Amino acid sequence: MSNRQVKALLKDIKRSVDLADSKPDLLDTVQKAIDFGQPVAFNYTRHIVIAVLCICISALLIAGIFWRFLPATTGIYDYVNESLVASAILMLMGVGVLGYVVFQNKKIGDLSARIFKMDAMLDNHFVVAPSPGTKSLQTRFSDFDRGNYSREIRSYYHSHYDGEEHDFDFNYYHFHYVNKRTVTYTTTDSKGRTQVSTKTVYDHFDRYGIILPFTYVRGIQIFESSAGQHYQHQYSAESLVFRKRFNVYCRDQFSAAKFLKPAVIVAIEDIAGLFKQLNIEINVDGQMCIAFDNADLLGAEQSYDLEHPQAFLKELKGETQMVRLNSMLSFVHQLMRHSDSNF
Amino acid sequence: MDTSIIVLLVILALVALAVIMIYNGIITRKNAVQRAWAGVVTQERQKNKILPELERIVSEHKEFETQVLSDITKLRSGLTQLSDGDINPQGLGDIEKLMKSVSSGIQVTMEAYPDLKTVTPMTNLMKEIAEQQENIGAALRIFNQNVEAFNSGIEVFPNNLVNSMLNKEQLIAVFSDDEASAGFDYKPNF
Repeated sequence: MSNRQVKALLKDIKRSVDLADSKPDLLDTVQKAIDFGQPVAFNYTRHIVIAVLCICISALLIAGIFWRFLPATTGIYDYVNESLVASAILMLMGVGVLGYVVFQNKKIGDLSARIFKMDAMLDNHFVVAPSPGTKSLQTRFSDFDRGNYSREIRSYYHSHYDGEEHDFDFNYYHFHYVNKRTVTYTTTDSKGRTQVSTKTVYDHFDRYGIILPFTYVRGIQIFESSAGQHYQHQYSAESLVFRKRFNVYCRDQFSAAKFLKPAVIVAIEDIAGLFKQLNIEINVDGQMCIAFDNADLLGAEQSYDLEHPQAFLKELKGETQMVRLNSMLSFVHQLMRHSDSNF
Repeated sequence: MDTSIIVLLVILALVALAVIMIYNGIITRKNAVQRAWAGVVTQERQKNKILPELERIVSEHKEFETQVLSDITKLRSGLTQLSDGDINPQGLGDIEKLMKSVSSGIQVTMEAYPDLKTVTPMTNLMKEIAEQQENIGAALRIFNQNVEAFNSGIEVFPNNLVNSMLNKEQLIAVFSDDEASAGFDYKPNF
């Protein structure tokens, strides 16, 4: 199979993936790779040989300049200049061709990763949901009170969890914010004069999290990462490990004490080991927001790609587990189980 | 004032500050241990919420062995003897043994007589017992974590010097499940 045919196949698969919105659609796209009859891989042996030759000749030219001509002092500069130009051109050609090969091969990996991600999202019942907007979220939860320059919700999904005792809907979000600051620095010119200047720096940050209804307690913030404090009372849990890591702000200490049962404290300590800068907030409207720095909540382990379409199809047919998401959702379920009444 | 005297005074002030911080740290950790123990006792006493109902069901249904009822009675009296102030892992261990005996007695009977599961509060009671046991386990973990922090806080240098001169606190024993550890051949050599 020629590289042209592989390119055409990838283009066709990409078009189908763009239109796919169900599991059978996705499986059909991989079936196209199986029907192709050959491994979906480019053959760039010739390109690689030429690239390596170019780089080797370039290296030899440079070595020649250093070993043979550089000790001489006169009459060699024209030769050196010509050799350097030729060497640079060959090196650029070699690296350029290798870059092209890597870029082309990456296309297969990227498309496979896209198919796998879509399949994982479908397996875990995620659908794109309309974002409520950063302003609305900021009034509801302190964790969105970040970024003095700009804020945006980059993705917002909806899904559902069926637990042993509790079922709940939840939204996943990716929040991006930018802090603007002015930096003062000194420069020294060639005459030794120093000059104080300022420049504006934009720092980009990302937070991820889930939002869901949680009506068993209201008005409590359990913060590892500093964010706006909404409630005036502070509660100190009995665990020293917990106290070292979290600050608890609440509407009233009695509700906080009732909610933070030992099993809940231990569950929070354990989940904090998996998530960085974990903030848990339950607002007065009975909405819970769990925010953190980890970008891989919806990540899953991919074993195959389009280069092995049979194995890839088999992998996609199975249920893809999002390990971190499962830990987070069973943690939420545990909180619900310990906060509800059994009678 | 001579520079060396100033340096000496600054060093003395820093040492005094360090001693105060260590002294207060030991007290804070001791209080955290006491609070964690009170947390364990509070969780144990949550059993009082369910014991009367459990006692009623067990006495109303002849399927349960008389041993279960007698264990529940012993459990109630054991709970009244638990104190928030005195850290008594041994007494707690005895109560936990009784609770295990009650739970397994109920479990065995319910498996033998599945109709009992239809007794309305029974399933909820079992769920409540499971959650309470989970909370007691978690409270004990918190207690042991705090004890570890306290013990380290009086043993490490230079805290041991401050403790021997000022606080004079003793090591606190962590809670351990004798019954569970008896099942292992391995015994740690500490």
